[in-house]
Amino acid sequence: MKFCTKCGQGSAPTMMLCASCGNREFSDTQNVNQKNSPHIKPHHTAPKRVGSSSSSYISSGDPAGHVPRFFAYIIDIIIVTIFCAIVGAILGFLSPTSFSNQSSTELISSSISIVIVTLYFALLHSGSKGATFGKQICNIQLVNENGIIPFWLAVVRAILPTILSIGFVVVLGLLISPLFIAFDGKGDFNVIILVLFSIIFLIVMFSPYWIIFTNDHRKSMIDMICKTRVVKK
Amino acid sequence: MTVDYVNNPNQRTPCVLVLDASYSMSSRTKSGKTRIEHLNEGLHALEDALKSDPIALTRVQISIVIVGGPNSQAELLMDWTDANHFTAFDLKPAGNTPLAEGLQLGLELAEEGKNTILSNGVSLTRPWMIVISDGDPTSSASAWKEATLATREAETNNKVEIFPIAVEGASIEKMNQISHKPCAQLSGMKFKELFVWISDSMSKYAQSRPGDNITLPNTDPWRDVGL
Repeated sequence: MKFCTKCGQGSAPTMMLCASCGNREFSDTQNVNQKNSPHIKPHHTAPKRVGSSSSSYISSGDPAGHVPRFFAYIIDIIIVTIFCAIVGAILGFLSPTSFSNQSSTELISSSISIVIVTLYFALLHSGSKGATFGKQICNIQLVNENGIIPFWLAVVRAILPTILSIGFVVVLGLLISPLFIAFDGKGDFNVIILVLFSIIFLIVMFSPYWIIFTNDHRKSMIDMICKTRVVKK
Repeated sequence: MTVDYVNNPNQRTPCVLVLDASYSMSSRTKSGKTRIEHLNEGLHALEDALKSDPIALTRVQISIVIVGGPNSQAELLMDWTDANHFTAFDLKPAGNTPLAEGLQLGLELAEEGKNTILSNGVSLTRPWMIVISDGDPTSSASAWKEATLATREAETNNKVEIFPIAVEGASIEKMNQISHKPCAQLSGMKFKELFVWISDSMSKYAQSRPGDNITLPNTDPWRDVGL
């Protein structure tokens, strides 16, 4: 019997790496983290032998398909919309005169919606199932290389699409606004530019997601930034 | 010593197990256990079955390649070991399913094991390679094509006998590309029954001589026959 120097797991002599943690260094005695001890040297290191063209990508699971991801997204949108509508109705019913004007009502309502959406995705993604209700129904989940993601990362991942989309749209607006100024008051041109702008707006708005069609691991821009993946359960 | 040709010059049957330890193996089944827990129980059942069979104990040799796992790659987990020295262990699921790389490594191991046995003056039966996976391979399309061409060619040239076994949810289409034989589907999570069958089959095969017609034990205890 030999012991992993990293986790202390016992292994048979022919084991080339620790089945538990993947470490290749073993010792004859059960000492964890021997590499950090000046007194005890690792007994031996198993030679590395890996598949010839193994993937350099280090993360978890088999990627979820586009269709389950799409339906999970639609289900989640429906659920959070219902939540927001209920909360909005309750607030409106409880204090119909407490808001001084329509704009402050809209501001508070939008803030509450953002909080609800963020909490919905963050709490469920960092929960024991690692999946929103939509993802649970579609049998997929969100993970990183360590499994279920922590709450703080789930919050970042929930907020990031909005920030990115707003950022992209603002940049697009700045780029396109000179066209509006140049063709101001020229009838049909304005309509054409408006239609073009709307199409480009939609493409840019959802640009954090288009990228899932361009890589083998079906990672969106958000997944790439947060180092997360949506995988099959 | 884990491979002993001096004290045990019996004919050998080498068997490479290519096991999927990717993250998808962490999903829970109806029994409340995860797939990998079932697979680990199967490995312990394999140890018990090998050690309770005097033929298998002296003639079967095993090596194990994991696909996925803590390092998220296809790698040699256990080098060639005589059945009497085989000790089961518990795998932990993580990472992708680079099955193409696992197949290539399995073929290399089978060839290497065969050459080592012959160089020690011991006879052997054709090596086996048993591939167990529950997911779509995450290897690139070109790596997959190359690996499946290599496995089929090795089978055609009688270099190795390949048994692809799909756990529920696996891509049968992909698994069918590994061998000329159709892929067998595991019924539920009957890993224990599967590994006992592997032990019994290898024991029977290990007693064979060149040209013998072998009838392997019935696969009904673990196989999904689509009823």
